[in-house]
Amino acid sequence: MKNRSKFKLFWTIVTLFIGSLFIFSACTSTNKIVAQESGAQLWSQKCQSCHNAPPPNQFSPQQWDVIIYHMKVKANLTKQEQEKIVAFLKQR
Amino acid sequence: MKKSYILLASTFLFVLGANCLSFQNANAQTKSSSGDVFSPGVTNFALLGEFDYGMNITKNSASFGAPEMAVMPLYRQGRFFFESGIGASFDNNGPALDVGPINLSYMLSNDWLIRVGHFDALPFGRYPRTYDPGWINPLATGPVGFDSIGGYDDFGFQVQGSGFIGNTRLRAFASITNGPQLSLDPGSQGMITSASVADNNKSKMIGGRLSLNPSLSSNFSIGVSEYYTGNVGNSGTQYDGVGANLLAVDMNWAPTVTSLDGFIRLRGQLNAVHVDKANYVDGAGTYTFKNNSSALYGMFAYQPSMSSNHFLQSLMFAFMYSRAKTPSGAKWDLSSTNQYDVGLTYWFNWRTNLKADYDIQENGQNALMLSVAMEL
Repeated sequence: MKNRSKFKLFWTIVTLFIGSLFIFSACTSTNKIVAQESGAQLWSQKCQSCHNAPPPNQFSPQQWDVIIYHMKVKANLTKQEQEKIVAFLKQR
Repeated sequence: MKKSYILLASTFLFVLGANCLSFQNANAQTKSSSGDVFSPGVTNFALLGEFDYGMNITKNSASFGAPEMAVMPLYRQGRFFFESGIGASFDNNGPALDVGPINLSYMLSNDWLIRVGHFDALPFGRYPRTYDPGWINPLATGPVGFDSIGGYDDFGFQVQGSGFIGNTRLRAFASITNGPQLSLDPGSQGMITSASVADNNKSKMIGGRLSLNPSLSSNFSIGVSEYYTGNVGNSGTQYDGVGANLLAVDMNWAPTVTSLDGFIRLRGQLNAVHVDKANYVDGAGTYTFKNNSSALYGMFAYQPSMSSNHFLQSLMFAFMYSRAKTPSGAKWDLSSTNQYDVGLTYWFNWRTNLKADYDIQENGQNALMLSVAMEL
């Protein structure tokens, strides 16, 4: 009985997981609303949702290039958001 | 079970392959305007870190704590991104070093990546993975129970990505890892603890987190995480085959409220851990229980960041309620099951703060906590 419920649970997770991946494969990587927002708006929104937004002059452009990847990994930023935010931060 | 892994792996490859193809098309379109950020010629390095120091004052004692610091070397080369962390603190035996995370990411496409290595906390909800660092957490302490019912480190493989369906953003993390282990230590028997490098059995943990951001103009998000492993016990022992299922639901909202001259933060998370029934032995004999435990917290914070008064602009007020529910029959030592925290934070700048937090516990062991934290 225990094994049977484990089996069911396992397949439920697998089904949900595969379903999620298929949904994602149908996703678009760009969005009109994000496209219309400026780098400054996205920087404020995305950073502020978890922590204070760092001012652009806190790091060099080379450092921002790496830190934005750290945040991409941490917060799953899309490339569209990543490029706009880093462009804003590098302007200083 | 082996067929399941094969199916899972095939699906990974299929979907990731599809995403790589879509990346090639998208990249061909964007290259001319923005350049290729994945160019192998681009190599960059950055060093981040954090510092945390605090003091606890209770009715009968006052104690300066141990300072903690961590440095995080980050390195990017083309599509590869490496991150690591080295922490230093003090315990009862003197200086203590802690290493982790150490992992390598590879950008499969614009919005999808894979990671291998050690993860300092699985994406099981968002606490502690995102909100625990002292320069982010507006309180000097974390929610009760979240260090033992959640926050598991692990070793393995992870795929993550994001995309849009209409104006809804989806984010996903999925992983195959060693999985947590069943603790047999007195005081925590039946609890599951973070994975170790040498797995205690052949079973792997699979699962992940899916989150939705239903309105792109606000930063409200809600996430669901689930992980499953068929075995957390040591192979060849009576605990071989004891499975575990982990569930978490989390939410986060941080809007700017112009009528309040500032912004608020609302966060919440519920963790539930289920471990199959097992027999445990201690000095008093054998006892049996099924580990159904849960921990939850809700936090509200407000900072009048648009106030005309400079001092007020830098203040943040926070309140947190947290609760941990331990299974009946367990002999765990959770110091409290209900905890209330009221805090006041002064921000010297965006990454340095001084916090005062009054911690009210159900067992009456209330404490005033003072701490200073800085992002390095």
